[in-house]
Amino acid sequence: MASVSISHMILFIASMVIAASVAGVFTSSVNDLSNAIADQGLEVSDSVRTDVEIISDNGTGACVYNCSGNGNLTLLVKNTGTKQLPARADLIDVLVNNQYKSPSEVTVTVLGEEDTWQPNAVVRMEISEPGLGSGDHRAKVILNGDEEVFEFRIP
Amino acid sequence: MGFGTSGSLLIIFTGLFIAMGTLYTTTANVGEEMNDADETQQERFVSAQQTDVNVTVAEWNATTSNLTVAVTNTGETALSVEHTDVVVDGNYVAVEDFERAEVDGRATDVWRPGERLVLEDADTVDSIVSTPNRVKVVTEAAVADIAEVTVR
Repeated sequence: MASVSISHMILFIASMVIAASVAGVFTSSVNDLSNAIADQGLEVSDSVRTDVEIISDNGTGACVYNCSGNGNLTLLVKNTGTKQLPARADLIDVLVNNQYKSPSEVTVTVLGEEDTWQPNAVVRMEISEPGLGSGDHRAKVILNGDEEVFEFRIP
Repeated sequence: MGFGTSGSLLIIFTGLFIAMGTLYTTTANVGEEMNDADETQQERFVSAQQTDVNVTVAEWNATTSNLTVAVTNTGETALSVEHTDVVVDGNYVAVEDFERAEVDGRATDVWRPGERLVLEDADTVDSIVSTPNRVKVVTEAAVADIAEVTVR
């Protein structure tokens, strides 16, 4: 009789341990999944809230290249989205004539009275591109998945 | 065995309940956040569609080195003077740099449809360019108008 009770107890404990393991593994997997969904969702939301526009004037008479004589391309970029953006060259991708510009070749300065790149604030991007010849050129700015293209001509 | 089965089921169901609770909370929060972002984006698009400005005067006084820009809000939405930007010959000039920024004679931030914003600068533009050629006025939705500067 005692051996039956002991075996029942062993089976009971074993079933509890197995059930707890199953529940634990399941809960932890779903937790990981939840975190992934939250991260992805925030990323998508950030991307939707991000919107920038290049407001530089590319018309005749306006200067965008070599304005200070140091071979820099000057782009004015306005934050037209609803999210504060990082005014950091290492977080903004810049391509000039399909050539990637490394962060060391780009300087970003917030203009006006703002200290950070808040919605409606403007930054000046100075892109080092010495020796850009006369003709049509194209610059692309990519930030949080938002891409803006600026076409200009050097006379 | 009866207690074992019931106990195991109870533990598994409790685990399932906790997991589903976490999953539901996360998806609900993420869904709300994304809906919010989407609505804001739609509002931005509508606002940009309803925005239009027309630079009626861009005048450079060669004697006093003053630049006067007059812009009319020809759109259907009220704009913010503070969030308006000016680009003179490719150089950024903030609205705060203009000595005079008035909407129909009033120093206000709200620039309603049909109203005329007059910006007058005394020294900022003069320190950047000797004689400006082009003025670009950019609104908060990045809708812009460009005008050639006339020298007086």
